[in-house]
Amino acid sequence: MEDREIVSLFLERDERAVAELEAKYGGLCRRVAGNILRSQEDAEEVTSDAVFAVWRTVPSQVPKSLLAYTLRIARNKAITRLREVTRDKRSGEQDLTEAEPSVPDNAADSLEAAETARLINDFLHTRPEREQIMFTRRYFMGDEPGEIAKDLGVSPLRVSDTLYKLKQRLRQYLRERDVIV
Amino acid sequence: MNDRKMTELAGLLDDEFIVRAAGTVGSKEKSMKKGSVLKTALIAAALCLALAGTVFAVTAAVRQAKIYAFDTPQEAADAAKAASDSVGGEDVAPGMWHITEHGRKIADFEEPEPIGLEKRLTQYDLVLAHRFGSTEDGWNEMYTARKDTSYGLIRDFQQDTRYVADSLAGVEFLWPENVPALDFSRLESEYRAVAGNETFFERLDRNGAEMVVLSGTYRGEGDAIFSVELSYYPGRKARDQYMVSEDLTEYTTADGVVVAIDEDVTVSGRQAFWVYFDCGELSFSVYGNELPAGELHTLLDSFGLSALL
Repeated sequence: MEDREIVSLFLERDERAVAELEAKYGGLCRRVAGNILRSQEDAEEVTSDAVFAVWRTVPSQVPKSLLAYTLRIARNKAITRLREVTRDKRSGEQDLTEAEPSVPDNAADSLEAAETARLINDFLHTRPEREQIMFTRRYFMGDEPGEIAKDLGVSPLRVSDTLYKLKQRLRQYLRERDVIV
Repeated sequence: MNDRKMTELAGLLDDEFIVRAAGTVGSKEKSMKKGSVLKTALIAAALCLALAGTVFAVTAAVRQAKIYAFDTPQEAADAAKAASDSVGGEDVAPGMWHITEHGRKIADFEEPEPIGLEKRLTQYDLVLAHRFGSTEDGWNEMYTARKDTSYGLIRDFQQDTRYVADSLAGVEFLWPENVPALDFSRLESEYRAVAGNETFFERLDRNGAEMVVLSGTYRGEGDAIFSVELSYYPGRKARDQYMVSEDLTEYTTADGVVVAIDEDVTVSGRQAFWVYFDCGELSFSVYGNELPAGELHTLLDSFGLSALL
């Protein structure tokens, strides 16, 4: 089923939307959540939560991309879940929650985050498509270089080297624009 | 910037990057369709017919991964999915990274700077060895270093060993003895290695060796420049590739190995080429700019690729 048809089902509050979304993007959500949580059981739970979050939110927000919208929710929920799990297991020892995206505290932080987002996206637009894909697969989806390499037909070493150079370039790009990361 | 910071920043990416990246994810995560053996065979047969009618496919030895080229991403995606479904969701990957339809310009192959290892050590948590070699050693610098890759509740590590030299001859001796090797003698004698870019790399994790790679960058006459890379992934089975390309051809080397060669033009109008060869646990590639076809074929003949079959 096409994305726009699934979105229509959500907007019409037709419960088939949930099954269609799960069938189409459940696997990717499980993959991203699994990469973050390293637990199949938790990844399943996060995926179910993400699908129902789409059910709850789509009437008020019509996503430009259903795939990106759903994956973002799954990723954020997985990161939140990771924070909960690690807090339970290792409270007071080591903070493993750095992977969670920062939540801006105030309007100034929101503006700063929006500007950083714009710069990062501008930077990535200047890079070849392969590098964009490698960056997104590694840092948004949490895939290992070996997995990315298999799908892109290059070696893991090339993926690792490309990501290393991309990080250096991004840091330089942000510094030149007075963003310290 | 460490990986955690990058992960944080990646949460800010535009939808288009996420959609494009998700489109390259291997088929193994997609839902599997179960069918009887007969049904599976019929699907496979139908696929072969469809492929024969609409696409170019590089013929290959049994263990060698095949490469299918299509005119549009949708055709490639459909064929990859059909092939994946026909074998229970395994063995194929939509390797659609070379998509000319998007109108992206291909960057020129820039001569790389010598690879300095010292600054790379900051990526690791523990440096086990870091040394500079002599002329007698044949290599310039090496390290073995380890990083903690535990994430969530899983404890894991990544241990990398990397050597850098001024020619592949300086690091070739590190290639595992029990793994088929290539003949780099013509490459070394007829082309000039870009100094400090010939490397040996090995990555271990908690399961043992994850990959071993030999790679180097060479210059030829005029503007010719290219990289050669031989990789070994223990336990891997090479997967078929489904790509979008208008210029994929096959070449049979003097020792009877069929390789795929893809060609395009860079942003400044230079000839760009990629050579692919994937077989079992081994992968070989050459890519670069401005190497005439005849010269490329002679070079491919010299490697003795049949050793990898």
